[in-house]
Amino acid sequence: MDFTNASHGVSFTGMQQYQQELQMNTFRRIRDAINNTSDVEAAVRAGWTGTSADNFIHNLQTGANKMSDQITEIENMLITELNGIMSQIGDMDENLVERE
Amino acid sequence: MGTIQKFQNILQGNRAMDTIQGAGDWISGARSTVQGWAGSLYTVASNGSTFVGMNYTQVPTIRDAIRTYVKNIQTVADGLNTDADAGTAVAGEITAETKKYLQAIKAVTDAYVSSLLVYSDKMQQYYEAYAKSDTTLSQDVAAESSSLTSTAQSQTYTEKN
Repeated sequence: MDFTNASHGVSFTGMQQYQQELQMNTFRRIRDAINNTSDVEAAVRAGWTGTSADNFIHNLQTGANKMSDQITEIENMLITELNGIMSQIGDMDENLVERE
Repeated sequence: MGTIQKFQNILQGNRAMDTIQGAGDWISGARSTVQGWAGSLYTVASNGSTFVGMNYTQVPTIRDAIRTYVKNIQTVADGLNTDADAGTAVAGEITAETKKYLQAIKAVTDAYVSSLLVYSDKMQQYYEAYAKSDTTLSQDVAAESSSLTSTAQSQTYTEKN
């Protein structure tokens, strides 16, 4: 069945791949972008010395780590939710036509 | 009501739509949380002493690096909905559900990069203040030098201090 034009529904076999693509592609890319603070750090190191510069870099890294954790939290919630919906659809599918 | 219709109504009514509504509230909360800690990370920027040790002529370079960092994050965040549409395994409320979570990522990353851009603007104020001071100092020194030269040419000068 082609689900491209479906208004409702799910391909159970494709769902796992969809989740993997979200995890490996979408969430990884945003985390990589957030964690890639090296160019900012290099620019700061080149033009700023002392404790203030160290503090700024520390704050930058702390912020990136917190953001990365936040993204992971959202990722886990989404995957849990998708699995829940899948499970519910499966249950309803089994009960769609009741035996008389 | 037909069985298929009942199926769809149950699916939409019982879970997906309620969850999506809940996600909207959660997104707002997540954004506020990030705004809170990201803001506090750079609150000290409002104090000029934060920039002690900075070579002000390097501020444009540092700001460029911050802009590039922010742009990279925004580019990925802006393209997230495309990722949600990419799979043909899901449709309808599941895609909408996924997009709500990706919308949450966009919201929290916007809050995060905004805090950096505020800090970047503080650097610019620091840069402008020092550049202005440098110019004024340079002009003052030039004027004083000219005066001293004139004085020295007209008389034998003895140090006063």
